[in-house]
Amino acid sequence: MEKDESVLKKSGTEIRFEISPQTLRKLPAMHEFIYILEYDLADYCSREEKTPTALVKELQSVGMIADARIFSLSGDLTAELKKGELWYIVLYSTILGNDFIDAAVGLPRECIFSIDRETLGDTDIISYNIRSKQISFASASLLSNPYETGEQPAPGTVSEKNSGPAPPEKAQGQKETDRLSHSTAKSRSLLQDIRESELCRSDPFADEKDSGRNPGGTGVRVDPEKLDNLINLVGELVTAESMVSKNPDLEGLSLERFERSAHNLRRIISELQKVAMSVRMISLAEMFSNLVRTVRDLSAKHEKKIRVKLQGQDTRTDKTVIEQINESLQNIIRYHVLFGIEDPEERSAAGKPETAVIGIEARQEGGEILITVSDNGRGLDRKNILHRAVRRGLIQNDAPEPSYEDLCRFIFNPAFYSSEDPDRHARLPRVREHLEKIKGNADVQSSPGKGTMLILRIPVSRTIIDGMLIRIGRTICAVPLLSVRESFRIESSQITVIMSGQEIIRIRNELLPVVRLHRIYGITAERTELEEGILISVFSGQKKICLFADEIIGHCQTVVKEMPEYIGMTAGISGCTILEDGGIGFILDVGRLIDMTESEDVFPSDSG
Amino acid sequence: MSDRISVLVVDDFSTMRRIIKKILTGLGISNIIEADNGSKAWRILNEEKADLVICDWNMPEMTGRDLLEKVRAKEELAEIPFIMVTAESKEKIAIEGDKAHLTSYMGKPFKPKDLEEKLRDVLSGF
Repeated sequence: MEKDESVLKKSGTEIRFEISPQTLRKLPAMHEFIYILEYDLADYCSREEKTPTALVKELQSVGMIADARIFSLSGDLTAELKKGELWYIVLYSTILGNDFIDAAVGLPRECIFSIDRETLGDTDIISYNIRSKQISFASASLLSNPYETGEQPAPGTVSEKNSGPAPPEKAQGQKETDRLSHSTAKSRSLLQDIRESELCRSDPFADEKDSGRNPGGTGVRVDPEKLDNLINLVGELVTAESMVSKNPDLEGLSLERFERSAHNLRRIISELQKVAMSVRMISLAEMFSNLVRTVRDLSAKHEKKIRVKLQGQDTRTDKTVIEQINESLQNIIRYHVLFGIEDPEERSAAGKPETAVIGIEARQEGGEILITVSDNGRGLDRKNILHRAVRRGLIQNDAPEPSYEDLCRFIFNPAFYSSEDPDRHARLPRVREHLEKIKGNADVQSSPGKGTMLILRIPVSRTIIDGMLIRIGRTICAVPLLSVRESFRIESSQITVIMSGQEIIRIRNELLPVVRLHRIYGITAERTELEEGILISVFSGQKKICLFADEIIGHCQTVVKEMPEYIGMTAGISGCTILEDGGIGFILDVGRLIDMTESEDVFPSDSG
Repeated sequence: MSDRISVLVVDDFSTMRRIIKKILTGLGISNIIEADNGSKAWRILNEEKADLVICDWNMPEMTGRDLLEKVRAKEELAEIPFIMVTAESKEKIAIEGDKAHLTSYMGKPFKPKDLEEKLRDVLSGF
């Protein structure tokens, strides 16, 4: 199976096995839970009357076998198995929590060991001792940290693993104790593994598969323009294929052989499309390590002590998207270092540790990449912003005071800064401007005295999307499938109309505002009563709304075309697409639609 | 809820059946019948009374979709609430399920809590 195959050591009754580093990185993000399952195969198979193959299939039906090991105490595998002789140990990742895992895997509690994904952090090796039933973690990433491979860290910066005077073994030991303290409650006690220091010395790049970091390897350099051209052509091919295979001329004909060939063509095209798309997807790791360098340089220059915490470097996104957000992120880092984080003296006066933390985190959420950059610095000061906003004429003196959240958002407003303020001037406003250009957005959350977090949302890919096609009157819209939660019909008893005229529906203890697409875009709809049409619940981040449409008409995989500039009102529409029948569909921008619902002013009242 | 309600759980994997059973037991339902494919479920539905069917879409012998169609076509079973648990794509279920009068569906993979809420919702109608 794995190259670095399991080390089975038998020394008396001690048996050890290790699980390889790569496996953990392959686990889907939604699998929040990781377990080690210990099956006594002979016992299990006779009890459940199942073959081992059936067991594997069953396990895969509700989770993922990240890795597994079999080992035997009996020398003779041809003889009939006895209880306690053949063990099957599974590293299992699943969406099921502690309360359901035993029912799902058919094991008693004492054979299930839960591993907290949080405490796992950047662990590369999980060891399980079958005799003592103890789990221990080890990390090999000490050496593979992108910002520790180059030069020595600047004196002002303390990197994540702390490169202080302590010898590596000791630092590692401290890390382990940290983990111990907050994981004992949840999992079994974790034992410090002596082997881990050896592992830390092994070559950290041996299993680094990312070709992006290996310029001298077997890769081929391609002109990006050619790549764009390829993607565009593949996109056209997708549309052309459906125009042929779903051609109205074919209607009513029974064409078995044609269907088969068409099916084959479709399969190949979708493979081709996947490959073409993946060529452009690169991981954020390189950009992240540049950001770490920026932090290091800036913190040395401004004499601040900052530690950087990275998460989600493996998130992949379109190359052009990365190019477009790089500058924004540099600006944001600058903002955090210069203004977000206090001087060491100020920090210790406030009772905080001298070394501040900047956390850079990326993850995919639906059709979006979410990048957050946070610090544990001073946070945004309400009074300061308010004074400045009033001084700069952004708030009228007698106007009601805006909420703290709204005040914080002023940092994105170009008018908030004066030109004498060269270091801040236009930096953050440019971030927001930039992101809007690529259909993303920027937001800020802050807590005075505790820190500030800037949040960027960027679409994963802007060229081809999977969409649910919905019809409103004669207009067809596509809702990006990754944003769709569910669709349903409702009864009148579930509808409530609030003071502003906004309709709210109640479903499973959730209250969701309804967006009547026909009203926003001035379309004459076939169905105007909510009970008659269909509601599609969509989300962006934590926020959810329901879109109201006449009906759902199908699924499309389609090329996104920019909206032509001469069309004025396109709020909530991210582009358009050519449908199978040659007509035009509009691609809805769920994030914008949610923002519009919040600002409310797009909803004309019933009288208007 | 009470002992009156009997629920038929159809799935070819015992893992999934056990999870669903556990949720149902948690909701106070003890009368649970199991079947590991559509044709067994169809036999049971014709012999015993079931108030609710929770069914997998993709199964050997008779799929959940076929079972749903058969159930809806038979007069005395046509009104029985039918929940599909499925890994099929959302839009496929939305379209096909709507056509076949599916009561509700749950996309795989799901968190047990989500299904529990859905069931609570459906059961509140009893």
